[in-house]
Amino acid sequence: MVNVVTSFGKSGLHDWLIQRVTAVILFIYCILIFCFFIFNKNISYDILNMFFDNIIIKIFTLISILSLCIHSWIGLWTILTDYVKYFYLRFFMQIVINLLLMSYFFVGIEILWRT
Amino acid sequence: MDKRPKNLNLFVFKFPITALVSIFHRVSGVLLFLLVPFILFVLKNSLLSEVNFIILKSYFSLAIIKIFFILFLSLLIFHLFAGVRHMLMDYGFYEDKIGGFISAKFVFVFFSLFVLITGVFIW
Repeated sequence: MVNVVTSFGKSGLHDWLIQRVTAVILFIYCILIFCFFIFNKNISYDILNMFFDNIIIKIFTLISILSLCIHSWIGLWTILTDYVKYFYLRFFMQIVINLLLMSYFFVGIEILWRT
Repeated sequence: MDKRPKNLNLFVFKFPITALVSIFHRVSGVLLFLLVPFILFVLKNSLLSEVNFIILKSYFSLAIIKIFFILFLSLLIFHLFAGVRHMLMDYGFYEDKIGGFISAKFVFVFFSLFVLITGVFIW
């Protein structure tokens, strides 16, 4: 049972669902970004700035960064519980990872909210 | 006591293709997590100002950065295709042994194809 306390959601099933929902969000976002770069091969600052200035893109980007953090939290939890058997080490690693993920999220907000 | 010899040398094991998809899905996930700061750095500098954007663009004309970026994108592409396969299996497709092998092969075929296209596009 001790494994469950460091998970993201309420239960394994909860984590399972969140993992898939965030995966779909990230998949759609990746397709969007790939398409953007395919159609703007010679990218300029103005085009890129205009793209990320769009409120829909901005919110979608932030939702994707949040999804990325949650997705990584669950994914890395799964990997850690599989390979790191010593509880205190795993707990420490999980905390370091989660602090990193939260930093990613706030840096993402800072970058996009500047303009 | 069990006296049979244990061989846990990972370099001696032969892995089925389904196991390879599974482990590369995990490895690519961890590496992508570690490479997020790189992407945030690129995003930040490309949006900060026109000067930063031009400097960044000149970095991306260097061969070493291009190779690094293609490697990053191949990790992402592999993770995406392996993820799609994983979710198809969640919904009950390709769950049997044969289907699992075929879909695993498809992951590698699509992966190679898309990495090739991305490589040509970036270069």
